[in-house]
Amino acid sequence: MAAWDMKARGIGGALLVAYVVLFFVYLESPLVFILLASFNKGLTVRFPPSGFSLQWYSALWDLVREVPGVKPGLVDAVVTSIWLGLASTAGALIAGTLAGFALYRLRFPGRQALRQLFLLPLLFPQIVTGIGLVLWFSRIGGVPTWLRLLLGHLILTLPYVVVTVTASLETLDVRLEEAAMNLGAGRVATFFLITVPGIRSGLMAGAIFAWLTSFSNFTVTFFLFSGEVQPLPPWLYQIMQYFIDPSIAALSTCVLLITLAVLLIMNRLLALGRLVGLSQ
Amino acid sequence: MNEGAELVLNGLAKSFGAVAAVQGVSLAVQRGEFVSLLGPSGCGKTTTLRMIAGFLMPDAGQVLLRGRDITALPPYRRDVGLLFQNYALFPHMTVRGNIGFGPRMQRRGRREIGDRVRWALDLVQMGGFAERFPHELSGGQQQRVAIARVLAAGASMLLLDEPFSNLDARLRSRMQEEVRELQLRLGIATMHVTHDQDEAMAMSDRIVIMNAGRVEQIGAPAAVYGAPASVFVAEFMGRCNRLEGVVSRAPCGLGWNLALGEAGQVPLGNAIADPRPGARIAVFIRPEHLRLAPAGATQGAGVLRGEVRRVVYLGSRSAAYVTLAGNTGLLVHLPNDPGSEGPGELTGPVDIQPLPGAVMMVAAGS
Amino acid sequence: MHRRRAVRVWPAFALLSPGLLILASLVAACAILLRYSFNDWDPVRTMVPAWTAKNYLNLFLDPAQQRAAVTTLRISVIVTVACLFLGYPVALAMTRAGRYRGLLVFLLVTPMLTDVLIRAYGWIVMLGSAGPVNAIMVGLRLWPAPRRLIYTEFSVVLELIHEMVPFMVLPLTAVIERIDPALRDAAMNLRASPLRSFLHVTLPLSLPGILAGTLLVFALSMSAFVAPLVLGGGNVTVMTVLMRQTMFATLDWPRGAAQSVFLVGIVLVLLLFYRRALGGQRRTA
Repeated sequence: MAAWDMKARGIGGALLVAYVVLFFVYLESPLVFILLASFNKGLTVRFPPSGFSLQWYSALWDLVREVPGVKPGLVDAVVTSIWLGLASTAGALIAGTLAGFALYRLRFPGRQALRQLFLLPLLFPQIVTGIGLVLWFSRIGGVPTWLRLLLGHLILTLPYVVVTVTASLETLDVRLEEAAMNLGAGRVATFFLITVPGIRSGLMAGAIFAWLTSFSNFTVTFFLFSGEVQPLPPWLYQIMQYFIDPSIAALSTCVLLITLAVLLIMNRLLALGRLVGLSQ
Repeated sequence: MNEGAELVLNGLAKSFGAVAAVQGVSLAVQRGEFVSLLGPSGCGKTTTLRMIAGFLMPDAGQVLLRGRDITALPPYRRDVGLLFQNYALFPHMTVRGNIGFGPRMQRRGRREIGDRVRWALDLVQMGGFAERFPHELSGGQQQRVAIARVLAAGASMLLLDEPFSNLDARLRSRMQEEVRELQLRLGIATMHVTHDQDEAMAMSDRIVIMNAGRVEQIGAPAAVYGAPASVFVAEFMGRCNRLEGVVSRAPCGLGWNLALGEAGQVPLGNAIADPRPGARIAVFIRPEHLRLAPAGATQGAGVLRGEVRRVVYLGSRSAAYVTLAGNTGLLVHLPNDPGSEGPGELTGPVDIQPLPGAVMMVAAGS
Repeated sequence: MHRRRAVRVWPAFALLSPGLLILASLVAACAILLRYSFNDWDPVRTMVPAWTAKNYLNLFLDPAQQRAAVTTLRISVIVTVACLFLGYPVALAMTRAGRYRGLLVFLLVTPMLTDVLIRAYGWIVMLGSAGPVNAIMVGLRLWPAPRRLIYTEFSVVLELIHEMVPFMVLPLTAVIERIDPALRDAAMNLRASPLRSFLHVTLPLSLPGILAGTLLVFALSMSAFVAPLVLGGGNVTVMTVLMRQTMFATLDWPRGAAQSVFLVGIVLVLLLFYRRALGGQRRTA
C-alpha cells in the first residue's frame, strides 16, 4: 500500500512540483540554448534571437571538409572518436562481462576488495589518470598514440560495463543457471547459452554507456592525444580557443542529438534507475 | 444503533482504477467494543482501515468519529491510533522518544509529555526500557512500545492493521491476550484487521466479514460461526460440509428430512422456515457436528451411510474423510479420547449422524 | 587440499585477467606518479631521480599552490552546499514521483552523459554578454547593464553545480526511498503534519544520504577539470588547472606528480567515507 500520497494535495505538493519543473528546466537549459544558438542569425549569439537561420549548419558542412589552420579536419576527429569508442567498448565488454561474472557469481578470497577496485576508475580523478598515464607512457617509451588513447579509455569504460552487467546479473535468477547445470550443461556452455542471453539488456546498456563515455570524454583524452590522432572533444576545445562562432553550436547540436537518440534507445532496454543505484 | 457509537462508517467506497476495492461498506463500532474486519487478502479490509485513518480519501461515503464527520480530515487531525504490521517504530529515536512523539506533536509541556510517557510505559509493562532503541528490542517488545506510543498520543479509537502476523505462534497468542486485556481495561473502541478467523474469534466482540469489497455479515463470533449469512461466510469461518438433496417428509411425521438418495437422509429440524416438499436445496454442517458409528449400528432414518477413506490424527482431534454412497465427500472432526491410538481405529462402512441443530441453512442466492 | 583450493580460485582468476590487465595500467600510472613525486627537478636537467620530500613540502609552502588550494576549497564548498539545497527537494520528488520516476531519472542522467565540453559551451552561450541571462536581468531592470559573467569564478561555480547536482540527487534518492513508508504514516497518525513528519522522521533518516552526496560532490568538485579550464578562461586557478600548468607549461614533472598524489589522496579518503555512509544502509528500516 503506498504511503499517503501528497503529490497532488495541498500547497506543499504544488510547490514541490513547481520546483522540480524549474529544476529540470535549469538542468537541461544549456543544451536547449545550444540548440537555439545553432539557429542564430549573425555572428554574435544574442537573446532574444534576432533571427532564425541555418547558416551555421551550412558553415558546418564547409567545416566538414577542412578547417584552415587546424589539422586534422572535423571528419577525422569524429571518425577517430567513433573508432576509439567502438574499440574501447568492445574491450570493456569482454573484460567487463567476464569480470562481472567472476565477481558476482564465483566465490574466492579478496572478492570484496576486487569489487571495489573495479569500480574505482568511476570516481578516480580523471586528471590524475591522464597525468599518470602520460608519465608512464613516456617512461616505457614507444607507445603509439592510438594505444595510449585506447588504454586510457578502457580504464574509463570498464567500470560502466561491470556495473551494468552486475545489475543485470542480480536480476537473473541463479537457479536458471543451476537448472542448466543440473541438466548436464558444463560451466562454459551454461555461460554462453543461459547467462549471456539473460544479461543481454545489461550488456547492451553497458555497451552504450561505455561508448558514450568514451565519445564524450575530455580530461583523460586531453592528456593522451596527439596531432595525428585527435578525438572530437580535444579537437572541439582547440577550435573553441580560436573561434567561438555558432558553427560550434551547430556541431554541438548534432552531437547532442546523436547522444540523445542513443540514450533513448538505451532507456528502452534497461531502466536507467537500476544502473545508478536506485531500487526499482 | 448508530447513536452514541464511537465510529460509524456510512457507505464507504473506494476504487483504484478499474478495481473496486471497497463497495458500500457501512458499520458501527460502539464505545469500548472490539470489532474485527475479517476476510481474505484483497477483500478491502485494509483499504477500509486506511480510509478510517485518513490515508485514503473515499470515493463515496462518510466516516464519523463520535458523531463528527472526519471524512475530509487529514490523518494528523484525526483522533485514531494506528498500529502497524511492522510496528513502524522510529529507528532513530529511543523508546521514550517514540512514545513521546505524539504528545510532542500536540505541543504539550515537557512535564506532561514525561507523565504520559511514563503512564504508557507502565501500561504495557516496559518501564525499564525507556532509553533503548527499537532495534535492541524483540518483536513482542516492539509491539508493546508501538501500543504505548499510540496510547500516549491519546486516541478515542484504536486501529490494528494485522499487528500479530509477524509474531511466531506462541508469542502471537500471548500478545493477543495482552492486547485484548489492555483494550478492555482502557475501554477503548478498537477495530482490528485480520485474515485469521481464529484470531478474530478469540479477540472480538463482533466480527465484520468482508469479501470482494463488501460486507458479508456482521455479528458476534458465535452468530457468525453458527448462523452464517452466506455461503462465503460459512466456508470462510472454518471447514464446512455442503449437502444437496430433496426436501421430503420424515417417516412417522417427525418433521422434514433432506433426502440424499442412496446416501440416506438428514433431519432438517428447525433449519428451514418454510419447507416445500420436493424442493432441491443445499445445507451446511460443521465437521465437528457429525458423529460416526459402525454401519448399521444406528437406528432411525435420519442417518447417512458412507465409507471412511482416510483418518488423520491432529492431536486434539482426528479428521475423518468419509465418502457417502453416491460419491459426496464429507469431513468429520472427532475428539480424541484419552488413550486413543489415533487413526486406524475407524475404517470401512460407517453411519454418519448429525447432532441435533447441526444443519445450517444459508440464504439462497449467496 | 592444496589442489582443491587452486581449482576454485583459478577460474575466477582467468575470468578476471583481462579486466585486471586494464586496471594494471591505472595501477602502473599511479605507481609512476608516486615514484616521480619524490624526484628532484631543476630547469637545466629537468627531472632528476632522487628521494626528496620537497615537492610535497611545496604543496603547503608555495604561495601559488596555496592560492590554488584555497580557490579549490572555496569553490568545492560552495558547489557542494548549493547542490545539497538544490538537490534535496529533487530527491524527495523522485521518491514520490510514481510513474513519472523513469522520466525524471532520464532527465537527470542525460546531461551527465553528454559531452562535458558541449555543456560548458552551453554555459558560455547562456552567460555571454548578449546571452539570455544578461538579457533577462537587464530586461527586468535588475541590472543596469549587461555584466561580464563568463571567465569568472562565478561561471565556473554555476557550471560545476550543474554538473554535480545529479551526483547529489542520486545517493539521496537511493537513501530516501529505502526509508520505510510506514514511518511517515506513523508520524502523521501521531498528529504530525506533513511538514513536521518530514522534519522529525524523513530528514534525520536521510542523513546517510546527505553525507554520501556531500562527500561525493565534494570529491568530484575537487577533481573537476573541464569547468575551471573552459569557463575560467585562465582566471580561475584551481588545483587541477595548476597541475596542468605544472605538467605542460613548466614541465616540472615531479611537482605535478606530487600534486596528483595529493589530490588522489584527498579524494580517496573522501570516497572511503562516502562508501561507509552508504554501507550503513543495511540497518535502517
